[in-house]
Amino acid sequence: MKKNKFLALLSLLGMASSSVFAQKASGEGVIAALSNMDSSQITLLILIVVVLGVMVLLLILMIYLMSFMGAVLRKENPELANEPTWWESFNEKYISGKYQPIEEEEEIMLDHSYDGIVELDNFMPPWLKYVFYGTIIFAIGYLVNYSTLGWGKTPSEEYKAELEAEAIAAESRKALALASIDENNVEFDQSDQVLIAGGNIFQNNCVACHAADGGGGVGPNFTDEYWIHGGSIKDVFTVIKYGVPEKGMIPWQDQLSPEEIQQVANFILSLKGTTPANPKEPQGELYDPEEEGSIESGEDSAAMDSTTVAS
Amino acid sequence: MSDALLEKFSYDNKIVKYFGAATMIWGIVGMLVGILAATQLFLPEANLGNPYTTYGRIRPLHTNAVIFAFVGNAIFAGVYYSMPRLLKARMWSDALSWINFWGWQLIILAAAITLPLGLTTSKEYAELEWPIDIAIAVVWVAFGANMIGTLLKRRERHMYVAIWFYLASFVTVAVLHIFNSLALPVSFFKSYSAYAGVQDALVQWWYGHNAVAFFLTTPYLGLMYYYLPKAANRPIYSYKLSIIHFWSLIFIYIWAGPHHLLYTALPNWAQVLGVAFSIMLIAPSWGGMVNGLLTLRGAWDKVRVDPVLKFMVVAVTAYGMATLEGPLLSLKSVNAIAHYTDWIVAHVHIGALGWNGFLTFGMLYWLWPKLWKTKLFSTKLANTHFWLGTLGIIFYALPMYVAALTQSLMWKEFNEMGRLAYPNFLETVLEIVPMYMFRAFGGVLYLIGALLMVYNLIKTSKIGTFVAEEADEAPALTKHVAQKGEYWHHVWERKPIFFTLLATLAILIGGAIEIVPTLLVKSNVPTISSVEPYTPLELQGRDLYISNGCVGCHSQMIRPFRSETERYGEYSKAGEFVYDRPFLWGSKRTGPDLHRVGRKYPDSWHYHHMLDPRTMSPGSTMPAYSWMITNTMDHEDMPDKIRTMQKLGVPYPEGYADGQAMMDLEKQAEEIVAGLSEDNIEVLPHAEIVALIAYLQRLGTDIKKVDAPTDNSLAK
Repeated sequence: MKKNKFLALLSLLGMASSSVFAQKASGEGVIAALSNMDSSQITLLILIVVVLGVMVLLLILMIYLMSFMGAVLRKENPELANEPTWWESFNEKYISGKYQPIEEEEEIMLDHSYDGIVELDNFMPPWLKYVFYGTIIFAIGYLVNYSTLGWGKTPSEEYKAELEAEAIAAESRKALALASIDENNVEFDQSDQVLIAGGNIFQNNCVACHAADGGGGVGPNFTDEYWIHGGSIKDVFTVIKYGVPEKGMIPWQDQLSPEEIQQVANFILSLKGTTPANPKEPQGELYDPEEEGSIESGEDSAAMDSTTVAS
Repeated sequence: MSDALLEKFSYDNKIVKYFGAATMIWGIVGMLVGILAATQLFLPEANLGNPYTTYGRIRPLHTNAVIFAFVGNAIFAGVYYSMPRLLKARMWSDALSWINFWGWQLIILAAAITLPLGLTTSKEYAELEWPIDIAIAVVWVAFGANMIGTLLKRRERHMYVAIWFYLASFVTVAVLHIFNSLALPVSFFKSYSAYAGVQDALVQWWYGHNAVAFFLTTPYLGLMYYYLPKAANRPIYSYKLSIIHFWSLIFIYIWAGPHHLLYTALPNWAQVLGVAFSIMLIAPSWGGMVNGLLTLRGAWDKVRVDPVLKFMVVAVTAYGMATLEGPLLSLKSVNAIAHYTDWIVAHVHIGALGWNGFLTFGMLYWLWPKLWKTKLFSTKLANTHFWLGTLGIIFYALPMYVAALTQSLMWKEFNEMGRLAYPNFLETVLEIVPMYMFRAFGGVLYLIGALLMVYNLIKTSKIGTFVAEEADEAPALTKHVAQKGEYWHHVWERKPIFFTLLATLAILIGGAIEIVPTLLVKSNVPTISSVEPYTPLELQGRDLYISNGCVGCHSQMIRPFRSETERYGEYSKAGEFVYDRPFLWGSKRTGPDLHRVGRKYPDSWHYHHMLDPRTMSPGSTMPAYSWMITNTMDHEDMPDKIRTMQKLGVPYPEGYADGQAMMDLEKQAEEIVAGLSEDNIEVLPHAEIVALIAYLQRLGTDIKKVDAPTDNSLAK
């Protein structure tokens, strides 16, 4: 018994010291912080640490001495030996309750048997009782919070808060981001890097309706020279971004970033002239990049694009 | 007590044998169907290529089979054995016993036929159509009458705690079943719910939650209070605890239904009540577990060797786990993550496989040798069953928890650009497919265990001799002489009618306080003026959606979270569902939410997607519904449906069903057919797919009509 306590004490000390070591090991930041302090601050810190350490040691010593004295007293006074310890009485009163020893069960047995089943008249275990009280208090608090006090948010209020937080985040993203890509400044770019990225996006999102080789299906064919909504990079970007809901093309601006839309739009334009397995018949109007002027949308940059397409 | 006063009588063991055998047979059937459904989640081709065995229809078959057939028969077997013995009286009427038995089996058979045929109300655990519902009510009342008759001619003055639970279960299930099943029939196989939208949802989950409480929990607590002390040969730990946990459990349980509808369009006050009462359920539920486990105090050496007790200990522990998990799941922050995921599936299976399954197994292993006056054929085999079952539960539940957390976090994740990290729903499904395989494996283990039990018990019956009539004797009940200072509850226990009335009162309060205002107070469902009734073709499409059990995988309830509104669109409002009979909010998202799917894709997309989902969503786990292209609907029943809806208050114009409705239907069908033919798709106007497309394209579009009226509005 005594030995055990001694061991426990030792291990406690061991734990304390090892945690100190652990702190030292990860202590680059601590050292830096220490070197920034002036001498009086360091003195104060050391003093606090020492005082705290002494207090902890004293506490441990006190507990040890008390248990030691308790043991001695019990040994000298056999009547006390049967007295429950502080923990035992706490446990009995608030947690497990008093168990009737199995041999003495008859004392609390109800004098009736139902088909051979008898019942004991034990009390509800205290811990369960306190759990019950606790949950009732929680429930009352919960109801009051959402009704009379009105502090608790309703689902739609929570949603509003979520939207507001996102609006702020979006602002800060905007401030951080470089000039964002939109349908006015999207660039025609057939570099490998862009086409590979665009191809991946295409495979993940577009093939259901436009086929893996761009030959079309539910949606139009990308390999011919006919376009329903125009065939410039700006037109394609616009269609992807905002969709054409009445024709079933969904808007992608919530799912793809502007950069991704630019990549996939470029990939789509790169499909022109390839031969798909099951090409859908041409839809829309013949789009000739040379005659850029005939399309009413933005003049100058599109014209530049068209020259690159032609090359 | 002098011998002269002893009356001789006998107990009917034959009915117990029959119910026990039915428990085993339906248990095996239910588990098999469960494994089939579980397999389809990673191998859609396992639907066997026809509508009857496709997931949407066999999922309700599975739940009905295990809840009402397996557990239901086990309850009857357990009650018909324990109740007469606890009351020292044969069951009141042999005729009622057999009406109960054959009636119940016929109901199950009717369910097994109608559900695969697609005859369903689609309300979870209450899918059966109205004629079967009436049969259920009749047979259930026969069961109750038999119990009450037995109580009236009992030879035991006081009712033991098991009987309190039996009575409360009987009364509550009757009330729940009747009120939730209220519907107006269109024909013998079709009816529309008496409640619409939000109200239907609240009544349904008041029912659904308390079906768990009063069909899967309280009767089983009653069984536990009989079979556990019997098997352990130990006294019940605490009579006082029985009283406290019985009354608090039945009173509080009934309030908790709304926790199935957190963050939905249900009025917030009802959600708040649901959460508060769910938390208060922890201690009353645990009262049963604690009383059960502490009853084993001093018998733990027996638990090591006796398979009956092993099963019971795990059952009671699983009950404790599930009843702590339940309240935690009803906390809004936890629910926001867990709802619509496999977490709920894992949670209910801890209850079903652990608590109901294992307690049933324990009870049967104990009963069979008693009925055949012999010993169990093989304890070793029973122990093997125990370990297989336990492993099965672990293999079932753990992958489901992993799957749920993984998928839910993927649904909610945003990237640094403020966009959904996984905008494609399918990606989150494919991630957890391996977990679905583990789950099915767990189910197979559990089934093998159950098969071992069936073999073991058949062998047991072969080595013993069946005692059809078990003789007993007891003195007749004499006139009661009131004693002074009798404990108040002890007084109640000798007044079964009074006791039953009190229990009824306890279970009515919570339901009434939540449901009545939701039905009557208009502000609970703010109306939206642009929401209009479904067109006749859409209504037909909606009934197809119901009949095929689409609601088993697709919710129609977008919760007010940015992660959901970004993915699906504007969150769902209460006023949008006022013409939804029944509501189709769903409880699980194996596929994406469909509430705002209307006008999102072109008609041809839906055509191709139903023909073969993988052409539109590569890798999709949705089964193909190719028969919808060729199957045609005769719309003869449509005018009657419109008339029924009118009787329920849906504002179709006067006389609309008499001709105009059919003309509108044909017109809308032709429009869809013409649109499809532009995309080189030829389909008949009466093909099922046309009605389904009409319905899908309407979903969730009414609130967008405010600025741009579309052709959805009805001819006035």
